This record gives sequence, C-alpha cells and structure tokens, in this order.
Amino acid sequence: MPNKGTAVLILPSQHYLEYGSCVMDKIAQQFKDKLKIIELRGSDANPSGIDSAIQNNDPMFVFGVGHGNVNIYTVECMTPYMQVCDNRTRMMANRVIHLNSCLTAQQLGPDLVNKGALTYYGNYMEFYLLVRGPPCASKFETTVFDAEYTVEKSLFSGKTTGQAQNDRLKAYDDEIKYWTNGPGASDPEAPIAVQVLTIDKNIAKMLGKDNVTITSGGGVSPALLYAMAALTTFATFGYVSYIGTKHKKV
Amino acid sequence: MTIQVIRAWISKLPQYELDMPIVVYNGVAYTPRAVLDEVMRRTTIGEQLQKQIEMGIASLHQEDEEELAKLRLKLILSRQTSTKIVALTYPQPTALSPQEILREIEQETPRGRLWIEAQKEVINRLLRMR
Repeated sequence: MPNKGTAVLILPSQHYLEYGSCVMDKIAQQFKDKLKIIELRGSDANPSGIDSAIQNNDPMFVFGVGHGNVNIYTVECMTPYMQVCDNRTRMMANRVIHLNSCLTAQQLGPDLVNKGALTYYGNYMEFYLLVRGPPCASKFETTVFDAEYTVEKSLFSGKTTGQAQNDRLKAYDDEIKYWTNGPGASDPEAPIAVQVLTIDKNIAKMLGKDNVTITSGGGVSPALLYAMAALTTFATFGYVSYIGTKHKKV
Repeated sequence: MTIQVIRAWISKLPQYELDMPIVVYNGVAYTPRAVLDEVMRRTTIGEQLQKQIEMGIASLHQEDEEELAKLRLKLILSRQTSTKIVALTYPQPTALSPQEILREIEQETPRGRLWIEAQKEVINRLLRMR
C-alpha cells in the first residue's frame, strides 16, 4: 500500500500554470512539518521526474495542475503525462489523485478509478483562471485556486476525501461571497470573478471513495468521532449516576 | 412585499449590481435601481417587478431568463479591461478574449452554454439575497 502522509505535487510553470503552482506551493509550505511533500516544480514536472518521484516515494496522494482534455493530462511544456488506458493510469492505483486540469473528469478520472485509484478529484468542463497581474500577485489571481485547492488543505489536515470535497464546494461559495459582499465587491472586475468561480464550482467533481484519509494516523473518520462522542457521554452520564447513587446511600 | 423589503434587498446587493439588469417584464429588463423607482412610484410595473423579485428566477419565462443572462454577460464582458480568462485546455492553452466568449454565447456552443447556465445561477443567487 502507498505511504500515508506522503504527497507528490506536480507543479509546472509555463503556459499560465505558475498561477496554480504558486498557490499550491504556499499550501505545501504550511504542511511540510506534518507531511512528506515532494514538489516537482517547473522543468522537474516532466514525465520521467514524476515517475521517479512516485516510484521512489510511493505517495498516498498525487496532485497535478496542467492542461488537459477528456482523456489526457499534460505537465510542463504541455508534455502528455497520462492518457486513458495507458500504463501510467495503473500507477495511480490505491492513491488519491487530484488533477486540476480541464475536462479530465469526463474520461480520464473515471478510468483512474476503474484502474484502482481510491479517489479522484478533477474538473468536468473547462477550468477557468483569471490573469490580470503576475502569479499570486493578488486575490484576483488566486481566487479560483484558493477554492479548488481546499481539497489539499483538508486532506493534509487529516480529513476524509468526502469531507474535502464538501470543503472544496463550500470554499467556492466563500470565494463568491468575497466578490459579492466582501472586500472584493469594490473591485471593478468582481462580476467576472463571480462568473468564473460559479463555473469552476459547477465542474468540481469527485469520483471514488469518500472515506479515505491520506495522512498517517491523523485522519479521524466521522463515524469514529460519533463513537468517541457517544462513549464520552455514556461515561460522563454513568459517573454522574454513580455519584448520585452514592449520595442517596449516604 | 413592502417597499422596505425591496430596500432591504437592494442594500444586500453589491454596488456593481445596482445598474445591472436583474428582472424582465414585458420584454424590458430592469435594474435594481429602476425596480426601486417603479415601486416607489406605485406603478403597475412596479407591482409586477416586486412579485418577480419575491418569487425569484422561477417567475421568469425561460426565454426571458436566457436573454437576461446573455444581456448581463454582454455587459460584464464588455467591461473587462486587461484581464485574460484562461482555460487549462490541451492541445492549446486557451486565453479567451471577451469578444470570443461573447461570440460563443451568441452561437450557444458548449462553452457558451456553460457561461449562460452559470450566469442564470448568479441571477438566482442575487434574487434570493435577503
């Protein structure tokens, strides 16, 4: 089985991909003390480099931003990395995969799950980003990624894949609020941000299992939380009853 | 619905929405400011517009809803200045100009439909603000 608590992040930079990569890099910095995170940046985000990182580290989680289509995901310089039915899709078995890449949720995502990937996150139609200034220059450039990459913030914090998807959709709503009623509402281009975020939310798909965690032991499932809460209540009630009984006797 | 409710609704909207069309009556699109004006003057149109806002997007005919979404997108996209809208597509990364998107909206291509449907959601969200 892949190593829990280990993640490989594919972060190309050309053809506007730095806009997503710089946001993911900041998230990776936040979690580097808790997880083993291997970042493949720029020219390192090439097919052989990615294969080596996956083979050497056997990560539970693989993220990639890149240009794509229904049956293909590409990396730096739009070099094809993974296509429906090729051998690399089998390399993703038993892992959680997030491809921030246009249209891959139509064919490539289902193929990955059919080949054994535990969970796949991706985009069903064209994923849009906004470019006004340099990458990570302002909220305007990061807004779509701040929502989309909530998947990673949640999974790296020990949440299940299903919880991460719920968090992702809620994050889109929060970003929309930012441009509707929040500080972003005074930006002259707020309406286009709302439009693009609404599209990106509608195409944010998750396939496969919703109860997987990628951290090593940090993940607590909702069922376990319920059981712990019930046990605590029972123990407290039992203790109070015992004290009460004792007092009565006295 | 009273005028206070209309005022409260308008107060929840972002400033940039006050002059954007949000409802349609008899083929004419009205902005929140125009709605308030009609309601304050107690016109028949104002009464109908009030009802529409109360009922949300469900009160709009399908054709009106489509036209309203297209009209709003035209206004939004015509205001774009230096912003590029980029899609993570292969084999070409697509940096779309507002004109290209508008053309696809008019032609109702799959990309155009994606934009229209999302804008309908935006309208519905705005009409539900209370």
